[in-house]
Amino acid sequence: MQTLTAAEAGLISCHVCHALACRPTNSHGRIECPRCGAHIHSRIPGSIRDTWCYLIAAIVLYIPANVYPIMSVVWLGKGEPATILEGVVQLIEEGMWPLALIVFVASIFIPLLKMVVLAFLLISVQRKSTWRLVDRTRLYRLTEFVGRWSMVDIFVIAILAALVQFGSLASIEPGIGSLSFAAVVVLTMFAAHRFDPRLIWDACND
Amino acid sequence: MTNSYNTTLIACHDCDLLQRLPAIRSPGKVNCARCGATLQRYSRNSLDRSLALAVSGLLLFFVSNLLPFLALNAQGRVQDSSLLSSSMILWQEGNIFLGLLVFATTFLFPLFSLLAILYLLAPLKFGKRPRFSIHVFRYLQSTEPWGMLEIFMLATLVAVVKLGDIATVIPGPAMYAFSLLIVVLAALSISLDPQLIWHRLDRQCKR
Repeated sequence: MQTLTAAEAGLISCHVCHALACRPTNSHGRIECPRCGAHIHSRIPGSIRDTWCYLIAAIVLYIPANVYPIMSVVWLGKGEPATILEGVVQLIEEGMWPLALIVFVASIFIPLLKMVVLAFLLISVQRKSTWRLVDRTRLYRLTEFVGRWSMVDIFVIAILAALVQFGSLASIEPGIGSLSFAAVVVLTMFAAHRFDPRLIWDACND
Repeated sequence: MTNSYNTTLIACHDCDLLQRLPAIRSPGKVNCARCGATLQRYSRNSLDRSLALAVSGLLLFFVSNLLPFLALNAQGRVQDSSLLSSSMILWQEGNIFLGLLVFATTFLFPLFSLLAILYLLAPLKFGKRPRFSIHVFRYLQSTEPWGMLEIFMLATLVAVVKLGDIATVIPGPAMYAFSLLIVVLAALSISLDPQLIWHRLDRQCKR
């Protein structure tokens, strides 16, 4: 298959409206999309650096997110704080298998998968790897699509906190862990957004 | 603008491959020949359908937010909650970041996208071009992943089952409206054809 990328043809594709604009020969600094006015660039500037920054911040915050309790159930004045993992174990002990699975996948599996995949993609791009380009692009699309679903646990805590308000009898309070966990989700979403999958394919054009 | 741009060719946003778009727009998807990314999605009567779905979405959005969402009955004590109360409680208890995050993802961004779609499509339907349309559409496209109502729906199910042991959960009328809203939003995201809207905005712009 004969292939020509937009960059090789001297064109820039707008990431917002997908219009193809010609790259000006005397371009200093920012170029605007002729159709929608967004700042356009052949590749996201500083993509690898920025993605690493968001990713490292997410990895660091992932530790307190798992060590500290994300939620405590205060029952008759006694608090029962639980971390993400303890929450999953509790659900299994109570026999709620499907719920345990949802929480496990959304809160433990997806964030870990996302961070590992992004680190792998970044390293492979930096090493200019030409290994399984299509699969790596698919992997990127998967992480980008699936990342938002980690918010489930945060929403569950918010709903429970709003609903279980029985004063001294019972109440549910979010813990420090939930703050770090929310930050991890947001940061990995930023990281995935900042990563430019076209860099994967540039390795085979060099 | 004096700069020209090409609309018969498209570069894949994932692998930058240049390819020619099919001349006939039949309902379905166009995928990248090299990496398989979805380049374009066509749907029949995109404009009319999206407009209708956005109107019903907005109505359902108001109903879901104004009526009681869930109630909890624990040994005779009943606690009501609305959709917004989950972010309000977090905010009041000093979790400002979490409160804002939940508020933005379940209220602000979904409301903005519904209003923006109406603001753009209603005038386009009658061949007019609303003011700031390009800015509005740009923001609409970039804030899309931050509307998380469908995730909130899953969270509601998890919370309801979790509480089922301790107390009786009574679904409020907003719960039904909210479930419908999720369906409408999913249909809306399928029927909306960004490329068509850009094309229409273009045509209006040239005199």
